[in-house]
Amino acid sequence: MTDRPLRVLVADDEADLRALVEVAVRRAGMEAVLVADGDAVLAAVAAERPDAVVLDVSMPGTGGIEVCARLRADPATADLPIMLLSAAVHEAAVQAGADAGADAYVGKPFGVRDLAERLRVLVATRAAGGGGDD
Amino acid sequence: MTDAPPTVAAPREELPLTARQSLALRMFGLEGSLFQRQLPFATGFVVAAAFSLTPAVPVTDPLPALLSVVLVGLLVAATLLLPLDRLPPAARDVIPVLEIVAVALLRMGTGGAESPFTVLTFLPVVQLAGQRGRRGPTVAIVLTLLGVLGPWFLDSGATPIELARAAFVAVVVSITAVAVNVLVVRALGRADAVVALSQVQETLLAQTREDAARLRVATQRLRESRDLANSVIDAVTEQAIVGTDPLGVVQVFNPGAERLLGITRLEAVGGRHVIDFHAPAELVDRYVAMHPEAAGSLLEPRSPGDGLPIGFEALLGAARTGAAEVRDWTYVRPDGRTVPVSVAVTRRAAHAGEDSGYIFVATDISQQQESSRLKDEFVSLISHELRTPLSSILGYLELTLDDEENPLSAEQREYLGVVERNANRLLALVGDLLFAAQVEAGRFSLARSPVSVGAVVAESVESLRQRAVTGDVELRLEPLAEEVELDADRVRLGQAFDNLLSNAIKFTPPGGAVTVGLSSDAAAGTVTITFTDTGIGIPEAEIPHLWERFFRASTATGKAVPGTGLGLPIVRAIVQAHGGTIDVRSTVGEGTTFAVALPWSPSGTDGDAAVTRP
Repeated sequence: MTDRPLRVLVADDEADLRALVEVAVRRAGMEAVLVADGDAVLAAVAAERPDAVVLDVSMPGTGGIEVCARLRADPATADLPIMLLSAAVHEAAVQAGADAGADAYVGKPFGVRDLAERLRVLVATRAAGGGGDD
Repeated sequence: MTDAPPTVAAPREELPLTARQSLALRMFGLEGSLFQRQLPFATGFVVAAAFSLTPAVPVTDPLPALLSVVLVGLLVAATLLLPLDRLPPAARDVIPVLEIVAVALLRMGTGGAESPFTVLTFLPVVQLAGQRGRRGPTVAIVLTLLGVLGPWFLDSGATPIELARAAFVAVVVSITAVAVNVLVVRALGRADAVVALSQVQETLLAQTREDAARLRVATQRLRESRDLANSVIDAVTEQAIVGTDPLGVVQVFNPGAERLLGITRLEAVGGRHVIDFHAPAELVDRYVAMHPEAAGSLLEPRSPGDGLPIGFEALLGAARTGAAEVRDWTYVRPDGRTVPVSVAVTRRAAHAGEDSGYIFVATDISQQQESSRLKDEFVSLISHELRTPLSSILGYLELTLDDEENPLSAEQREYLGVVERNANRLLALVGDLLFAAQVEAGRFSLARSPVSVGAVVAESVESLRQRAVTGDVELRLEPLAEEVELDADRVRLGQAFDNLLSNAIKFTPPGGAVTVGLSSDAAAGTVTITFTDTGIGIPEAEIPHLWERFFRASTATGKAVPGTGLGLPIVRAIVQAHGGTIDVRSTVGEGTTFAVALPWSPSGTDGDAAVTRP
């Protein structure tokens, strides 16, 4: 396990943004697995066993909030670091993300460098906190 | 009613007489006109005079006899021809008095004390005595005595027997006069009482009639006002008006209610309860919200609550105490369709302070809800659909500018800088639109924390210093002497200051100056931040419009200064959310000052209050 780079599952229906997030993931020193919608996340999470998930909130089909909630509900993925990306930055939207159990909520547009930094922090915090508590 | 009063002058109206009563009175000369009343006497006198022409009653002295006939003739003629009826009673009494005199003269002419005509005296005596008061009988008695006894005094040849007879006649006549007077006075008294009684009755009757008329008018008015109220209620077709008794049973149901609820007035009035129209769950939820202790129990709208069904209690809310109660509810029609409504509940005024019922005015808000839903959708669409491509633009710009392997030329870097600036401007616009929509929807709240005002202002000044330099505008910050800390939303406050400062720079021509001032007033409990420019100014008439969304001053559009008209409304919303105020003073061509005053408690006294929050 330790020899493979940390893997981040990225879900966004916009190919351009997916690619942008991929750059940020790479810059954070991790490896990105890209999918286009929420259902694909749920399907891929078992096989890919990612170390973190980045979800766009508004995607066709199962949206990011619901995917997040479902991942939290599944014991296998309950502790997975999850970051939500959304164009909706008002308080209620951010709150909905927190309620669904997301660890971070990043508004669009985001800086690539900034996103990379936050990913690094997210994974590091989760790894430290999760390992200690469980 | 006779055309002349009877013997007595009745002071008031008289009772109508029956035919027999009238005939009897006429026979005694007590009824009719003065002339008619003299007829019985005149008839008797004519008969007497006729007798005296016969040998049976010889005329002993022709002169008095002739005088008496002439006198009676004159009297009858006078009563017939002269308007003596109009004379006062005392003056009219002269007639019977003269008649008594005439009888006396006749007796003198027909044997004096022996004359058989003494009895004629009765008729004028009765006439005199038959009236109110004692004057009539007195005069009658005196005259009778004179008339009966007079001849005896004149005729010394009378015998004691004749004298006794005359005296006896006089006494009988006197007694008759008194008796007649007493009877007449009593009868008249009784008649007066009856008249008075009938007048009382008349008055009462008139009063009753008047009352009835008044009642009729009042009833008419009442009906008119009821008709007016009904017609007003019926004319309201866009609102449902439902009136109930104090227990909620429907009494009034207008056409608007028929339309909104899909039932007829006949179906609604009398049997239905107003809570029948509502979605039951809402009523129960509201009741539980009002009475948290009831939470968890098995409730339905008809459950008995505080004297009323709980659903009705929930519906009334504050209206129960006479206060205003306006709330959104859902009506359920018989066909199962639901209608979102805003219901205003009013307690109906009653006389003795008790409830006479409640009025529910419901307005269909489905369109309102639909349009606010569309607006929300539109705003989130804008937010998403504009931010997503902007995310790509800005993200890839960053990648391009940051690409260390393939560095850009200075020129390329400058061009992409323009792209980035404009993308950011677009992003700011989207943010402003979204924020303005939130403000309007009342969904904007502050994330408060202790904030140093001076620091926030300084940050704004620093972030805009480059723009001031570019526009050749001098930017000055007058620092606050003391540190002022507020319980505020740092980001929003910064946004407001940025907006004001960027406006000031934008509207100031090259060579001008923008000054940011800070002052605190411990007494007034405010801290004031002023943004003064030497810019183009705002016409006074346009100042009140500055706070309207998308409004732009004519001086701004005239000089083609770019902007959306969203900045100031947002600034004001932020300032007001903090409990502050914002003022503008401006002179066209000289400059403008915006002053933001925020509430503040000096830290020296109760500084904690400024930063304390729940």
